Amino acid sequence: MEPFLVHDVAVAGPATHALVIGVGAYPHLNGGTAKRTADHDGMEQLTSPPISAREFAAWLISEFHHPDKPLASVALLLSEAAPTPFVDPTDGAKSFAVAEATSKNVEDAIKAFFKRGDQDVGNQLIFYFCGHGIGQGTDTALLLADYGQDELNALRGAIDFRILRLGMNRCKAANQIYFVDACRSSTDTLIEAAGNAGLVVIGAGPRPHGLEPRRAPVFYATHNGFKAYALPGQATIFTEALLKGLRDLGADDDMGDWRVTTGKLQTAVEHVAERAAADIEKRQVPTADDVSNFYLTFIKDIPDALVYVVSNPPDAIDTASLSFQLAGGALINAPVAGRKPQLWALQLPSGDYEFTAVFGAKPPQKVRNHVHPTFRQVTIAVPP
Amino acid sequence: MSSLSVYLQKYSVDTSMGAVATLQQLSDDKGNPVRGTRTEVTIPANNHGNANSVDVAPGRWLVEATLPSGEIITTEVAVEKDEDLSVPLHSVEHSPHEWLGMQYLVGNIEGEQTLQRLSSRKSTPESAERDMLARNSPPVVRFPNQDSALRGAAAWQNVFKSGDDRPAPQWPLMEDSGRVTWLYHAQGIEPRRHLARVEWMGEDFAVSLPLPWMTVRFHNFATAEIMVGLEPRENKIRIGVVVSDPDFAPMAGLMTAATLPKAAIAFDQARDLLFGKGEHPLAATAGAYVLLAAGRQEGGWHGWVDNLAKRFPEIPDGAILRAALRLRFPKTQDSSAEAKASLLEAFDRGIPYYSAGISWLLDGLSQFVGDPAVDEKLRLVHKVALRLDVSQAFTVIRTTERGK
Repeated sequence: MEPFLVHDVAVAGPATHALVIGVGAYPHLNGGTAKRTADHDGMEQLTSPPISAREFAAWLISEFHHPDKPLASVALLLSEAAPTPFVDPTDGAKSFAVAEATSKNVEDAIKAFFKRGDQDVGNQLIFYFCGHGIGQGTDTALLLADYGQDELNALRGAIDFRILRLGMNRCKAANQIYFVDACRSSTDTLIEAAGNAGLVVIGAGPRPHGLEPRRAPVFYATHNGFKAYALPGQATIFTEALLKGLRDLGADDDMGDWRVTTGKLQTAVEHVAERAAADIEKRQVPTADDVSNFYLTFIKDIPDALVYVVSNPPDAIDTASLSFQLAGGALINAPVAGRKPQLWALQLPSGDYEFTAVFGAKPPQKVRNHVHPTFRQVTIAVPP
Repeated sequence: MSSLSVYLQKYSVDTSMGAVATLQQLSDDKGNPVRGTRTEVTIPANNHGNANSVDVAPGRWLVEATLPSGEIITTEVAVEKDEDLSVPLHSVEHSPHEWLGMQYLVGNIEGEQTLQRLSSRKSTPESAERDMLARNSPPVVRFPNQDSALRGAAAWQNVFKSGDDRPAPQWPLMEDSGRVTWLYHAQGIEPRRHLARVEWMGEDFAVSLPLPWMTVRFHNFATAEIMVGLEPRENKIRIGVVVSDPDFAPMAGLMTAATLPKAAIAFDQARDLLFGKGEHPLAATAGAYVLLAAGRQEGGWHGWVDNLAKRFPEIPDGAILRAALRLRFPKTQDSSAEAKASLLEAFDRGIPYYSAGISWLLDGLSQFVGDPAVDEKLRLVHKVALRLDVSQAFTVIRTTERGK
């Protein structure tokens, strides 16, 4: 197996290749194990990125499904306080030592990723990064494990993401998608002072003539200039939202079967992440760039959707009882855990439902609604 | 035939393009499930029930609307045979003020509820001090007659210089110092570049104003609104520019990253804007950005981009769009060389009107790095791009270091 790969399957014809990077341990930042860089700008060690990257890699191997572009490879690089092997989620007997996400390793992994994608114009490439990031204007630096190791050029341990994406324009793979789960704030002047946002692994250049135009959406965890959040020891808010989008909430059935499109995925990620951040009294709005639409993955089972049941007047739902019934199914009482002020939140398999609310001694009120990803709001009026 | 008359209920704006919506049929009039029948439309926003009436088959329909701000509204309706059903859609939130209605619609400011929630949070001593300073010393906004800051090749350096032309500061048209928000109006009918300089809290900004602007529907001169305030989450300065043309302003909202995926639904409107370039060249430019970003090639609009670039040499964006067209959809072996020439021409025209133009110019020039004709221009564009507010449709550049 090639270096960095934790999944490698021979596929004839178009295939999907992924590169997954999670950087949590930064030796040269606050709390690190080596000399702290002067360009630390308050940045500290992170616990969420390796967890997030592992979860994303596990989703790829165990759940990603594309009949025309099956998963051929997953490269994984991590930087974590206590490195542990990556265990294949579909075969516990397969365990892989994971390479450290240093600039040298990441540079090699990106070049190999480029070459794999370059084998077929029908290929699909998935790039995922989770760790510290610095954003300034149009530029974003993705900080790797050796950020700050070079005292005179801290960004030698970072990837210039704008140039990386431009460079990948030269790769034949026509469908490429980039997930950047990182803050885009912090050091305001570092990129400008350095004149670059990190290493240029693949120089930018026009797409070779005759190739199908590239579609290359980018999903960012947050707006440029803002922070992205996670709870310690858990996957980040963005990655949790991304996985929900890929598993359920980004699916659509406009072609008859259930597929996750890049456009719908953005809606799902934005919706879920914004709500999750609000739950911890933060504001995080994921954003995207160049979101041309294509089918990223297919879903075999009927996907779940979010449902928000509200009442008119709004406060009435707070004391109501609520049940729901899928067409042809049993009547189910809504779980109390979903009750929030002026709202009852549910996650239900897609389908046609009848929702019944009882407001005190008044007659039950029924509302039919088609539940479909990403979310539906169901309004039930209190009878006079 | 039945129909759905869909509109966005808004008290503070009246626009023909309040949102883009998808209508999806769920079942027919006998209750049989229907899958795959969808219609994509734009819908107006107003307070008098003026709706876009869409012919549909009778049955149950799901309406999902996306506002330029990114907000999504869904509702489910049942329409009988031969019925014209009114479908008013309501936002969860509303604009903090009527005078901020357009700024809110395009996503430049949060809704009232969100602002209330954010203001109830505990603030750090540093942010409280900054907030207090901001309330007590409003922004200084000037409209200098400094064409060279935006026009011509020298603009890439001149934009950072405040220049000698320092007219008296403008009075805000409206203000809410409690919310740390001020609104200014700029007028301009002379055929030149129009600039606003904003000085506040130790930071200076150059704002390219989309003037002169002829309204799309009534063909009269419109003003530009400049909102200056503190972003409530991280207390950073936020400058939002919209043009007072209700039939265009939401299109600019669609040009920001968060809503660009939905821009494809406004394909026809964008194409109409592009095709109407003679009277509305800046609106046509926005239409071309949306068409290119949507990535759809049909509709015969490629030639119109070339016309836009040729016919309006004072608009840098036209040459950028012509280059982007050749880089994204190369037709011949010469496309790359033509793109490079067009990018260099764009640089010589000056600072683009739209922030996407600076970003696309930078990315385009980056693809020819190492070419002596490119490298110095690339360096200058990069310097401006690093100070660009990419969340805004129109070009806003920070010209000083960031304040603490």
